Amino acid sequence: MDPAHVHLLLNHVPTVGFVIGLMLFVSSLIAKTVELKRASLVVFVGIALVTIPTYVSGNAAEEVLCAGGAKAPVCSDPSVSKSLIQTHEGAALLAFAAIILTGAFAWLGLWQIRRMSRAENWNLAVILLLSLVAFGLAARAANIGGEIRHPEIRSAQETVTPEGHLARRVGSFVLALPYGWPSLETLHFIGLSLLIGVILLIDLRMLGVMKDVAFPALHRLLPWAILGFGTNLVTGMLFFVASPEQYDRNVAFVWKVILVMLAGANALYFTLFDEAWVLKPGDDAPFTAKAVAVSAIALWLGVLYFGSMLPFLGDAF
Amino acid sequence: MPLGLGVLLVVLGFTAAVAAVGWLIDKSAERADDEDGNDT
Repeated sequence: MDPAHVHLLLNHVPTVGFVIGLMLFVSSLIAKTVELKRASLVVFVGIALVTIPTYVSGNAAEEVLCAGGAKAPVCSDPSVSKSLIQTHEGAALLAFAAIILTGAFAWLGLWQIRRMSRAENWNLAVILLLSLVAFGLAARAANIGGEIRHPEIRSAQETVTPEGHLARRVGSFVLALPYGWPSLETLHFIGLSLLIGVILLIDLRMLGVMKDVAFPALHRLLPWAILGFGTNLVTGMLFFVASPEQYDRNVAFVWKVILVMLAGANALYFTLFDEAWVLKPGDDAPFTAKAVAVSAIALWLGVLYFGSMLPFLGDAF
Repeated sequence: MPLGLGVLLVVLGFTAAVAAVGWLIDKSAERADDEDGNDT
């Protein structure tokens, strides 16, 4: 399957998913049901993870329509507007940021429910506000994206947005800043250390190392892993936006994104299920927790491998 | 601005912001643990 197909397959998921997530979330606030709240937060986190391939596959689709991708001045097909594609890309970048932020606060809500049996009110208010903004931005980006290939929904004048070609401007800024790329590389390694360090501690405990430590003590470290993940998502996306043609058809990058999504979903286990949470000092972890720990280590090693192999697999660099 | 200094300032600034957020979340967990009587 071509990455352009992936974009067509996934590009409705953020908008439709957020409708479902918002309905569940608002219902949970009205009904004051913790289980419904957890379900809605899981939907927000899941949509945030799926939004990563949705965004990055967009540039691959652009390359199919306009050979040369972001760097091509015009598209070979005269019915396709290069400017409209970049307006869509800018709108999508804003929507992506709002969706990822919603996912991050939703994950924090799940972590709070696990730890305190409730999500804090300030966090619920932030999630409600962010999810409304994210839904609006996702729907707008999707509509502009539809206009690229659907003349029946285009207005007489080409759509323009306040942010314009935001992604191209951000990309040019990163490339033009002399210390931009090396700073992002350094931060990417700091984020990686934070993420893998905490994940390994938790997974090794599940596998029988440091059995004297109760799981709730390690669970308290999980937000640091998510902050590491967030650091790497921000820096990684800035790399991508600065030079999408280096990544969007690179086989190592495709595998890295797939494994990041799976590893992110895997990390939900420790905030959702009871098996690990009830482990006291000296307790042996159940088989499921061990299986999740082994798969998490394998998935993150895969992310590390394909991240390191970006310049060596495929011919993008 | 020299390249090394620019990188250092960006990295320190971003890392300090991440550390501050992590510290705030951890403090809220500590407060909740104290209220609930959890010894973690």
